[in-house]
Parts: sequence; C-alpha cells; structure tokens
Amino acid sequence: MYKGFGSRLFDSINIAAMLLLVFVTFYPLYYIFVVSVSGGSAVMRGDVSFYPIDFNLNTYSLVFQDPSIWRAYLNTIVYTVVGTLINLFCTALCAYPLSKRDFYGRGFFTLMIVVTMFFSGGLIPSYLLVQKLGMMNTMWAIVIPGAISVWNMIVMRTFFQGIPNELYESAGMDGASELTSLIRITLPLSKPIMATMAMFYAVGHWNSFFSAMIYLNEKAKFPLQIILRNMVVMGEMSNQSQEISGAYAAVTATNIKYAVIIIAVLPILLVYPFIQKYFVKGVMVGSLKG
Amino acid sequence: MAKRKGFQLLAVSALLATLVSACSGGGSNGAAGESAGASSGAGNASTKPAAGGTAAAQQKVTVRWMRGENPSQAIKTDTPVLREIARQTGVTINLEPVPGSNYVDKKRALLATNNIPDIIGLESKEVAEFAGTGMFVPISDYLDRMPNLTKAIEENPEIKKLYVDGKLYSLPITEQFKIQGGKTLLIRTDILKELGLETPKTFDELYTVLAAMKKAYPDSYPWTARGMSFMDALSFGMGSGYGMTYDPDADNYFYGTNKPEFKEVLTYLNKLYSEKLLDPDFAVNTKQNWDEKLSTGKSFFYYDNNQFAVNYNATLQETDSNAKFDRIPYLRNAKGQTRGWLYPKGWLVDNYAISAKTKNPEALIGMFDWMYGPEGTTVTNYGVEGETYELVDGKPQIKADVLEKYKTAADPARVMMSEIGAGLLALAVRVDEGPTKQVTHPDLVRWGEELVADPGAVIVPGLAPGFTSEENESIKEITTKTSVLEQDVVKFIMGTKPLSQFDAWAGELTKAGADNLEKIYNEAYNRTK
Repeated sequence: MYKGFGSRLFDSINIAAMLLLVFVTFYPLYYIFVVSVSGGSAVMRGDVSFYPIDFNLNTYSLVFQDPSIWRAYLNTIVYTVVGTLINLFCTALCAYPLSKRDFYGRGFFTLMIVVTMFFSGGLIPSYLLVQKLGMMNTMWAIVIPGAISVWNMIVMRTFFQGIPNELYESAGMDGASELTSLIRITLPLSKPIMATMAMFYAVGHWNSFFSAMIYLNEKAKFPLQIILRNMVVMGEMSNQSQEISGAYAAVTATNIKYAVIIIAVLPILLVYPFIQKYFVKGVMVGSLKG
Repeated sequence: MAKRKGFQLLAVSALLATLVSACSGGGSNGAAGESAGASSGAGNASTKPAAGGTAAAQQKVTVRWMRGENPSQAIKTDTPVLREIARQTGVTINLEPVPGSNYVDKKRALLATNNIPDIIGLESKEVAEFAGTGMFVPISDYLDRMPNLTKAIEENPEIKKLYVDGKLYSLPITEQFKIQGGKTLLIRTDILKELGLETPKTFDELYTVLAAMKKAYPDSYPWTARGMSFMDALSFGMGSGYGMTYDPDADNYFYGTNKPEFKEVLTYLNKLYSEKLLDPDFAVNTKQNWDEKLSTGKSFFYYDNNQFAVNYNATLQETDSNAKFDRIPYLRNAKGQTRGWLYPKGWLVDNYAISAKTKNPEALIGMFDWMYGPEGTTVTNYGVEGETYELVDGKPQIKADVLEKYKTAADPARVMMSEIGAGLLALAVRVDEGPTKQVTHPDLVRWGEELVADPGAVIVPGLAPGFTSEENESIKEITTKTSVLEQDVVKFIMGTKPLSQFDAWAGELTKAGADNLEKIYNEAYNRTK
C-alpha cells in the first residue's frame, strides 16, 4: 500500500517518540542493573552509564552471603502469598453481595465502606488496635489490617455486576445457593479481574515495609523491603544530615545498594509478563462497565 | 504470644548453651539448667570480682532493648558482647533493631501509645519532649548508685544540657577514645608539589593556591562542595559564624550571619566563585556529584568531613599512584585566629531511656553503670577476653586471628564489629574506637591525631542548649522568618545579589529576631552552666 510523505513522516516521528518513551522508562532500571555489576571505583568516578565497567558479580555474592537477606526474602514470599490469598478471599466475599441489586441495605453498606477510603484513624489508633487484638509481632499484623482495599473491592464489584443476572436466576432455579453461585458462576467468569487483583495486592505486599516496620519487633521476621530501604534510604540520609556521626556516615557502596534493588524487584518483574494479558483486560473491563 | 515465648525460650537456651562459662543457679528452665550445670564449675572461677556489687548480688532479668540500626553495621541478636553482658551483669538482652531509615516513625508510635520496651534508643529532643509524661525512669535519681556515669558527666559537662526540668532521663553515649574527625581542609598535595606551591597558611594564600591550580588546569574547578555543608566550618574558621554558632572564647552563642564579619566570608566566596575557583554547582551538588568531581581530578580541594578523602584517594590512585588528598592545618584568619571544626565529644544526641514500666529498674541502672565503667566499656567495645580480644600491655586489643577472619570482607571494621556486637552502632554507651583503629585506613588515624593536635582545634558542641517548650516555640517562630532570608547567602556568593546590599539584608535578619534568638540560646545555655 502506498503511503504518502505525510503519513510516513508521522509514522517515523511516532516511532521515534515511542522509542524515546520506552528508553526513558527502561533506562533507570537498566542503569541500576549496570551499576550493580560494575566495579566500585568506576561507579564512584561516574564512568558507568550504558554498559558495565570492570564487570563483576562480587556485589551479588556479597549480598547473598548475608543470611538475613535470605531470611527476609523468604518472609516476603510468605507474606505476599498468604496476604494475597486473604485479600482475594475477603475482597470477593465483600464484593459479591454488594454486586447484587436485591441485596438489602446495599447503598448503606457501600457508603459505609467507601467512607473508609477517605477517612482513617491514623497510625496511633491502628497501632493500639493491632496491639489489643494481640497481633503485635506476628505475620497477621501485616496481612489482616489491609485485607480489603476498598478501591479494589469496588472495581471487583463493578466487574461482578457485569455478569447477567439471568445466569444467577437460572442457577437459582436449579437449586444453587448464593455460595454455589459465587463459586460456580461468578468466580469462573471473573478470572481477569481476579488475576488483576492478585497482581495489585501481591505487588502491594511485596513493596510494603511500613506496617512490618511498625508492628514487628524481631529482625528474623522482617521482609526484604525493610532491609533494602535501610540500605538505600539510610545511606542517603547519613550523607546529608548526620554530620554528627562523623566517621559513621553510611558507607554502603552504590553498587551494592543497587544489587539489592535488583534482587528485590526481580521476582515481581518476572511475574508481571505472565499476568499482563489478564491485567489489561481486567482493568479495562471493570472501568468501562463502571 | 505463644510463638513469641517459644522463641524466647529457644533464644535463652541457645544463649546459655554457648556460654563459655555460665553462672550457676541460672536454670529457669530445663534445657538451660542442664547446660548451666555442666559448665558452672569453670564459670564461677572466672567471674571477675571487678564487676561491682552486681556480680555478687546478681538478679537474672531479661529485657527488651530497641534501637535504630545503621545499615553499615548490621545488629546481630546473638553476639559475644550480649553473652558477656548477661554473664557479668545478669541482664539478658533481647535486642530489637529497627531499620534506621524509619526508626523515627516507629519511635513515635511507641512513645505516643506508651508502649516503649524496657530500653529504647532515643534522640535528646525526643527525651525532652516525652520526659514530662513520666514514661522514663529518671536516671538522675539513681546517680548516687552510678559512680561511673557520674564520672562521665564530670568529664563532659555538656551532658548537663540533657537535663529536663532539673532531671536526667536518658543515658547519653559518651566516648573514651575516638578517631577524631572534623570538617577540615583537604587538598591534593601531589598537585601542590607538581606546581611548586607552598601549603597555604591563611585564607589569602589559599586563594592564591586555588588560582594557581586553576591556571594549570583550566578545565577544573579547584574547590567543590556539596551544598552548604561547608559553610559553618568555613565561616567559623574565618572568624565569623553561619547561623547560631558557639563562641569558645566568650563561652556563649551568637548568630553569625548578620554580623559584619560574615560579609568578609561572602566577599571571599564571591571572589572565588566569580573567578571559577569555586565549583559553580557547589550549592546544588549531591554527595554523589561531589564524590565524582573529587575522585576524578576535576576538583582538588574541599573543606568538609575528612573521612571521605580515604575513598577518593583509593579511587584516584587506581589511575595515578601519586594522587593524594591530604589534610592541611587549619588556616589563620584576618583576626589572627585559627579555628578548626572538630566533631563533638561523644554522641550526646543519641541516648537510651529506661521505661518506667520495666520490672527491675535497679538491675538496668546497675548494668548501665557497669557499661560506663572500665570493664563494661571494654566488653561493649571489644567483646570477650580470650575470645575476641586480649590484653597487650594492659590494654585491650582485638586478637589477630579475629582480625584475620574479616580481612577479606568489603568493610572489615564494620563487619567485625557487627559480628562481635560491639561499639557505637551496637550498644556501647562509652565508646572506645580502639578496634576500628586497628583495621581502619592509617590516614584516618593520622588525621585524627593531627586534628586533635592542631593549634586551632575547637571541638564544636554536640547539642543545642536544653530549651523549654515556650523557648522552642519562639525559636520556631523566629527561624521561619530568618531561614527565608538566609537563602540569600547563595545569591551573595553567586553575585546575583550585590554585596553592597549586605548591610540592609543583615538589618532585616536582625529585625526578624536574630538578636532574640541569641538571647534565648544564651539564657538556656546559662541555665546548664
């Protein structure tokens, strides 16, 4: 097919712009990787930009020598898996009745739930609550308080509403209870949204550090993000403001920091492509029908 | 809860099992009783009588101890130091390190809900803020039982600034020996030699030297900085001050920025800036930019923390074996004074507080006093005699085989201290940096000695005077006004605001309350004298 000059010009500008966008998005991640496999002094001189200099994997072997990293890795995986399962279970159970038009008091319950999106008790009351519930210093303090994200619940409810009511009616005719309807009809039809929610929640758990830091006391229970954050953020802080500490300004080398970052984000990066096909579909369908 | 108890039981039995010598009668549970019994014979023989009355009348206590964790020295929860503290004082410590990057949030939550553990690491201002609630044990009430802390206070009267309404609520971190650091002048001595330049002795000579460097290396910016962090030390060195500054001669505080002397500082920097001797990016450089410039030979001089130079030298010498940053003595200013900027004595900002809810405050008071004393200082900084250190001419030294073990680590000193559980970043309250001295770069040790010996050596105060809450309010009010004006300092240096406007600007600072600020500081300071 013949393309005019204008069309080709547009295409090439378009492609160039998209490539630039891809580069801008991808480069920071790539840079972190390149620095993590470069020699320390090359990094300090600022020589590293596009390819590794003095390529070596010492940083990774150093990081993996630290047993607390492995421990934290395991903790993160446990918190993510358990947390995501709890999230999906609770969110689906909450979204299902709210998606039913004939659910008594639907508007009232929805309002009550939505209010929590905008108002929350804040840190101190939450802390006291977790403490009184006896969840302090356990995994439950991390996975239970955030069991339902209102936003995600509403997206899921909207998706459920898209399932034709006639399906439920005929199922009811055949003697299906609400629970059977949920398990046999709603959930099988909602795989995209479940996958999306799983992804949202899992990334959230993977990246979360605050609740773990506040509620956990023992180092052996810390997730990976706490250790990562301590290495990366604390290093920055000491350099700027902790002059008093003199010789104690952090010395964590940049390439080691970056190696930990790579190690921490890699699993999520690897999972992402497999869920992505559901991902786009799930979010789009939810939003369109809303 | 059951889970937690199980862990504690495990920890306690593991601890006791590994004890070189356990004290008898410590068996509160079966497993521990067994191992304690097995080694009790040897244990009693080697218990030092020197551990004060505590060793004889030892009560077994287990406490939670929380503190922030510096990423450069990981805190381990089962270390020789902890075992030795338990053996000598009877206090078993369950350490709860919290990542330093978020320790502030955690402390806030614990303090606000009155849930602090038995011992908690706090900053002095947090202690002052919460002391009134009665959640801390007033340490000063026990001072008659703490001869070692009393001695430490006499040694470093600045500790008196920590008193809140006449009482001390926290245990400050003091020093026995440290490798002195400071904001000082570091210059590429190889370039000085190459250009045949004399070591500068005054600020004018420094200017000449920088100008000569610029002439020989036109692409360079001889002096670089990372933001304004050099201003306090430089202004003080030039006989002025940047913001609230302590004057060691008059023994009072003054606000330097609106004084005529400060104009000289600005004039000097403006001259350097306009002749491109000062890095044009000095005000916006990040630490990383700054590191890059100094370790690639783009800049030859800085006036800041001396310890960074060790890293620059290592990087520089990979390509040029002669290259070297070296410390030069503090300069003489126009008034004929020499004034250095040495980091303060001890780490008085960092404190430990004991919770008023703890079951046995006397035991903890006893333990802390032991830690301030000679035996405790040695244990908390060097570990266990025979295991991690030995006495050489009566002085503790980390054993050679222990040093050897960590030689290949990325940062031998910190890894070693982390494993032993010793030093400032673990739980020493009287810090002896002897172990660090044994492994650290010789230049750092030498600079430390030179800094102390420098005729201009002035150790800056580590703490602002203890203010009342009303004083804190007024300070906040004044500084919100002055800090806006202080931003013009950069404009003066860069010449975007002409120096002729200095007097008017200084007048505005005075009007904003700079004099009041001085008054508040000095009144508060006089109270602690």
